[in-house]
Amino acid sequence: MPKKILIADDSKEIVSLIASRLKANNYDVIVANDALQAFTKAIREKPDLILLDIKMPAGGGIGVLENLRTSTETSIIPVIIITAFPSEEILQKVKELRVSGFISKPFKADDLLRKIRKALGEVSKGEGS
Amino acid sequence: MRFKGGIREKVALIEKQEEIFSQKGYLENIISSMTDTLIVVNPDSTIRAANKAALDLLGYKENELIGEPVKNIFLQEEEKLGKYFPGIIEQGAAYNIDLTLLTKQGKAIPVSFSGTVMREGEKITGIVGVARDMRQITAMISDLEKKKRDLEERNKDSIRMQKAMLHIMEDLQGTEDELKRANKELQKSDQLKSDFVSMVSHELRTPLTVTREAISQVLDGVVGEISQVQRDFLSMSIEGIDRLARLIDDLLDISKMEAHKVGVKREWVDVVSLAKAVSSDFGPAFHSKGLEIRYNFPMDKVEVYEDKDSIIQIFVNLISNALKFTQAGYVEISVIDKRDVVEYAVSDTGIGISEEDLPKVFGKFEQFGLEAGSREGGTGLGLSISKGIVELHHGKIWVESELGWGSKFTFVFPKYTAKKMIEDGLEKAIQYGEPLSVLIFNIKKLDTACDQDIDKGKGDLIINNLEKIIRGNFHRKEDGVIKEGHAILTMLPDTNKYNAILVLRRIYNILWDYLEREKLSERIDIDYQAIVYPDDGENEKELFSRIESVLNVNKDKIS
Repeated sequence: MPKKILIADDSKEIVSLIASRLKANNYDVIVANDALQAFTKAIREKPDLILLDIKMPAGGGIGVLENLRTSTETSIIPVIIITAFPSEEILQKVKELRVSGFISKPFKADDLLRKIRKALGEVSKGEGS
Repeated sequence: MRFKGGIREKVALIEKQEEIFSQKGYLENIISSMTDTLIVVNPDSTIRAANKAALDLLGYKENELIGEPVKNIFLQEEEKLGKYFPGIIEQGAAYNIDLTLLTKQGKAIPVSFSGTVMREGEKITGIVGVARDMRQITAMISDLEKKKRDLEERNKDSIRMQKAMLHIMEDLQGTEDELKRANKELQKSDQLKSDFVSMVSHELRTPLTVTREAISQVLDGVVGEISQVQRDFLSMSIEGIDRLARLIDDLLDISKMEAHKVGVKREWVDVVSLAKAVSSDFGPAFHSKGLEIRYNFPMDKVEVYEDKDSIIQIFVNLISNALKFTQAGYVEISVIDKRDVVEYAVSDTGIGISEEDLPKVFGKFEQFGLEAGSREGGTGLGLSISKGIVELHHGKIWVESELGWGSKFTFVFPKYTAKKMIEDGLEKAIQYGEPLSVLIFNIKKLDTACDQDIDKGKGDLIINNLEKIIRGNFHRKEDGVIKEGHAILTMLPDTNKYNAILVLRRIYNILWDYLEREKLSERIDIDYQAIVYPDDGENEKELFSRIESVLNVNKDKIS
């Protein structure tokens, strides 16, 4: 059964592009355009992985993340943060909130897919971190 | 004359006479010892008497003056005198009239004349006057007046100087205010620039991401087949976007450096293996260009307490430049331990840099030696960023090059020591009036038999691990953890003694847990102590001597 990935980013173009890429790689996709949507869809659909833009308005990505981590149903879902620039604070926060990894914009598709596979435990032989 | 009365009356009379004589003598004494001149004038304006002082002053003998008209001894004309004396008679007295006496020799003596009328009952019997010699006083007065004028002059001068100083101080204050304002403006503008650039770079990344991913998906065939020509065009687009992304990264670096916002995160790193790792990443690129990579590492291992990422960034910049500008030959990478500094260098047998271009090499957006738009073009900011990083670490970077021969880029970083860390921390603590705590963990090996089991290599490993554990417990940028021989020092700014001891105990427990897990708790002991400013030392000297004595306690047992 294909894995389900929730994409949460306030840019509709990025969401649709990533969705297109993921679908081409046999993943099912759920989309969200703001923090509230992201959280409610995560609770409802229980995706296998969440791709989360850290700088979303209305609570922002960090808010969603904190909420995901405190609610039992979602606390174990692996999260990969999408960020324009990984600052010290973000790296620190990311460590504290047990994020599986982060990817910075603009990204190369290979990197993104590799990180997703790793977070989902799909790392095959020969692939490093 | 026959006295009426007896002996008693006679004696009384004689006694009375004697008394009178004695009084007279007494009075005469007074008059003759006076230093001021005393003159008695008859109603007809002749001199009746003059005391010794008067005679001495005027240079006359008594018989020369008595009976002479008083006007003879005055310079002033009779008319003038005539003014004063009737006045004295009318008023009964006059004081401090400025007159001038005339001596026998004709010398004029300014005096201050005071006179009173003598009466016997209603009748005026004369005038008695005292003339005070005003010469000295006049001299003193004119001297004083001169001094007064001088003082006034000097006062004027001093007032002028004070005014001038005030002006200078106002100017200085004005300048200081201006400087402060300018500095605030600069800081604000630095902040604005950095915020602005951060904002802009963030804003740029999103459309960049969209564009790149869209093109990438077309290229990868996700949305359908494409022709070769389409593939070529789209490949060009993607390269342009990647370049743009690198440019934004570089701009962000520079803006952060210029806003002085870059922090330095240090850790123990073997820079020789670091250099090897970075250059081996370039292996394939070198290979495809047919270039050789050479190494010059006099020591196999050089451990420094440094910011790994900074060194990597500089090496990447220099090696990629060398690769770019070298068509044949080799690129040599060296790391040399020079006691107080470590010297890193990247040299190549490339096209070199002309003399006129040399000074521009570290400037922004300078790119020479390559055709515009060539595939290998960089952002032109790499060296400028490297220079910024080097300067942030108080190091130096320079280039030696000759056109046609090649180039050598060298950069040095001063070695960071525990001493330097504490010096820096203490400087700030004193400046801000904050406490500073230095926690010392002395790793002691119990002596005798156990020592042989723990050879130096393993000992180093244990200390490194302990250091890592300690560092993992401190997250503030300003906290420093650094090993010093067999001890690990932790510097915690703005931490008082009470808190330092709490932290000390907590960390000690964590370290002990580790030793137990590794089954080392039998063989290794840890001493711990906190040395705090200002409690344990009010200045650098005192603090360091305390720290050294704690560290030295350990030294005797190790060897």
